[in-house]
Amino acid sequence: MSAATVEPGWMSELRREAAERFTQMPWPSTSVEEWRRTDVGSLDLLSYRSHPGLSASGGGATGGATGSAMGGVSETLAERGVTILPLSSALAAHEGELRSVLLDSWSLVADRIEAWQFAEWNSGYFVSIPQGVVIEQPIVLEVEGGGPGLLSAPRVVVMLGEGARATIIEHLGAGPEHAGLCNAALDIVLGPGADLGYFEAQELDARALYFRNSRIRLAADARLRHFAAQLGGRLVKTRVDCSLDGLGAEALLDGAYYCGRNQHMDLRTVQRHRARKGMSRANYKGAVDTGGTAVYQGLIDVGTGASGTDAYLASKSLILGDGARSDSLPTLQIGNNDVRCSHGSTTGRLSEEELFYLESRGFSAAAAKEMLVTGYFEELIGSTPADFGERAMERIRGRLAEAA
Amino acid sequence: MKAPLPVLEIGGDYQHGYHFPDESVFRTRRGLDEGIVEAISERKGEPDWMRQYRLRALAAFRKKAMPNWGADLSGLNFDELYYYAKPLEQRSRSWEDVPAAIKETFERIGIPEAERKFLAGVGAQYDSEMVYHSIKEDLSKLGVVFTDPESAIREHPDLVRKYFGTVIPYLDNKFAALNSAVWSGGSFVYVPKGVKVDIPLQAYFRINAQSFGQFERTLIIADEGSFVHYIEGCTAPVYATESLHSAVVEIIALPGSRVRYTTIQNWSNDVYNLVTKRALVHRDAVVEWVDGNIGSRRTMKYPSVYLVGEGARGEILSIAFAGAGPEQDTGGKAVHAANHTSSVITAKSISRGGGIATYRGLLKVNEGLRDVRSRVVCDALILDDKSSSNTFPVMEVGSDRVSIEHEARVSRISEEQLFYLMSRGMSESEASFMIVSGFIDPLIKQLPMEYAVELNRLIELEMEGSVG
Repeated sequence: MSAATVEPGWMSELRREAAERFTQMPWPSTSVEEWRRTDVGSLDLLSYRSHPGLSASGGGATGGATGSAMGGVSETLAERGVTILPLSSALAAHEGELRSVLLDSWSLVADRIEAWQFAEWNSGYFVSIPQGVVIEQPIVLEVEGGGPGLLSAPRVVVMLGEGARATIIEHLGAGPEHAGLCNAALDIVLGPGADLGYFEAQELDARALYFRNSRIRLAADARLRHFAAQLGGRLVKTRVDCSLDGLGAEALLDGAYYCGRNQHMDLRTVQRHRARKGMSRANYKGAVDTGGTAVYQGLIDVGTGASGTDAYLASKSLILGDGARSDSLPTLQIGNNDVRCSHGSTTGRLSEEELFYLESRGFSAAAAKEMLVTGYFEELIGSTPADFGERAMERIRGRLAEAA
Repeated sequence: MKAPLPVLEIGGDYQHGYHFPDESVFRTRRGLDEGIVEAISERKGEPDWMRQYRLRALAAFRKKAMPNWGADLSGLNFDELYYYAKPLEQRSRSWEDVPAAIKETFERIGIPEAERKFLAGVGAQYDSEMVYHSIKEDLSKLGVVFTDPESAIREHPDLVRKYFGTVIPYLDNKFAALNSAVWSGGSFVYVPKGVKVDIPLQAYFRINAQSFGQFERTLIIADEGSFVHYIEGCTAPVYATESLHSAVVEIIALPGSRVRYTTIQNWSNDVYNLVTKRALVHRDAVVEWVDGNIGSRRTMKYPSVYLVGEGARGEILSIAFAGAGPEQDTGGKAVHAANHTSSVITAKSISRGGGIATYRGLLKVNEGLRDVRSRVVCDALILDDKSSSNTFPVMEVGSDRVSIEHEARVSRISEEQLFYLMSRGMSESEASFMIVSGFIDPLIKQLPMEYAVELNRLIELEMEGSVG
């Protein structure tokens, strides 16, 4: 894009440090619990080359009601101080905010994949909503998934000031042109009382590899819903790590996944309670079909000072065929006694009775299955923004039809 | 009779913290090498195959890494331990022959109640050798074998060779390898086809020599259609240096049999308790583990059921009480390897006074199975703001015709419950104890009466000074 974009020194320095860290670290080993079920050692990850045309673009974004073209913000939003920019273009003008957000996330880097993202990020956005601004229309971000043989490393940074409210929808490259390696990152920082709905739809090609690290920090009374629809990809490994840093913050981390033939999905959520009276829920629902392997790892981590915590974690896994594998690891680490923490997990199959009932009413076996599976997901997906939900549901129907 | 030594103060009161002078007659030097393993084998007059087995296990022990998960074991130094000590005399035939010093130790830990009732069924372990062992006559008439494994090797070599190490091979983990190399004492139980043993078989284990690792080995074989309830209870004197207890317990439940194994573990808080317990459950057989963990410095113990025959069922009930000092890392594992199998894991933990209670479990359903049911429930109670509780259940499901449920809850004693009981005239500590008792009640109900009484007493003791 703009040739004038020269990266500020602090960012180049951070990239250098990240590259160094990347060189020193080994790929995550299966002897580490978080990576035990996803072996990246045998993948030739370094054979993916950095996406040439991405360095300055964000992908495509539409902001607000008027839906202007990529990288832009409608005039009305701009007047209210809303910023939606490709991340690279925002580095200089928003150094103050961005630098502290990125350095905070950098201090949490857990493995080589995440360090790699810092060194190589090559697209993404900066979205900033100032104090008190409420945006009703969803902001839609189109994020680059990376073409065959290419590495796409999008990074999205979202900041909401005190009392701000917004909904963001992220579409991660659908279709055969997104068949590369996507190593994505998301940083969300919510000010006091801010309220954000973030809806991510991952629809990468069946050949794609997908890694994602989301680092989320909530100030007092902030509210977040982070929803992830994981539908595509050959190998998917994601981490949504949400820290409730301020008194009375609330987080809902939920998601739906469909994991079919030749797909491996390993999804992790972390509810980190660091302040008093926080409330968090994780709720993941998945369907695993023949030839698919799904892993859900959820952690509720309650610090010693986080009294009055109320946390719940639920995972449901529907097994649709023989040769499907579903692992679930809902874990609790509780360092405080004034808490209400619990989790529930179920794994099962479609009810024979319900299938029989539908078939006896003249539905084909495939139609009956589709009906029950979409009904199963409806509870979660039904509460997402309408366009987003319909698109995700359509995609699930498509996958079921492919499998049939 | 010498007077007991005064209690050593190690991180709080320990009721059973007394010991008698160490009167072991033979003890290997500290540390572990081939020479020591050979000496143990020689001392026991073992056949060559067992000596070779021990040596192979020693090689495996050296190669195996320490677990990189679970409780903190950094305080454990394998070179400082004694691996074998032989007590006073040969195995005694009857209660009268048991040395008075040992008898008194038993009395102090409250055995007599059980003793009077089940005198005939008791095999008790003092250090690493059976010192007392008798079996009720009608049991041996029925063909039931209840002895120490050393005698079993001599008297029932075919049974031992057929089953020893088949459920937990020495390559299984570092501590199973260690036990396989230096094991000494334990129990061997064989129940013939169709025989139902109606009194529980009990064995008490004690550690008495300082810095002495106890490596008992238990093998229980329940032949087709039989039933047996085996009870293991532990208590140990307090010492300043670390002791290691690393047992291996193998159960083979042949078709249609039922085995119940109950443990109340109350090691003093200098003991590392790292135990491997596993049962192979064949067609239509049932294995139940009832596992209570109160003391020790670090416990890592996950009784397991491997359901290998159709219709097999496994139940694991686990309770952990982590007070000041101990870290209880306990749980259970159920592996479904056949159709129409079911399992239930129920875990309850209480942590207080800075204690850490961790539930760690595995539920695994192999590929291509049908009609598998499992339910895993974990409840944790945290009694103060210094203590913590972790839950790490793992569920690996490879079949579609299954029903798997899991729930976990962590909570504290609610103000409302306390207030209600206190408004009825109870003190805060009485009220807390009552709530804790209610919390673990489902487990207590599964215990024989004497154990239920003993466990209640122990919890009451642990709860002393927990409020205020």
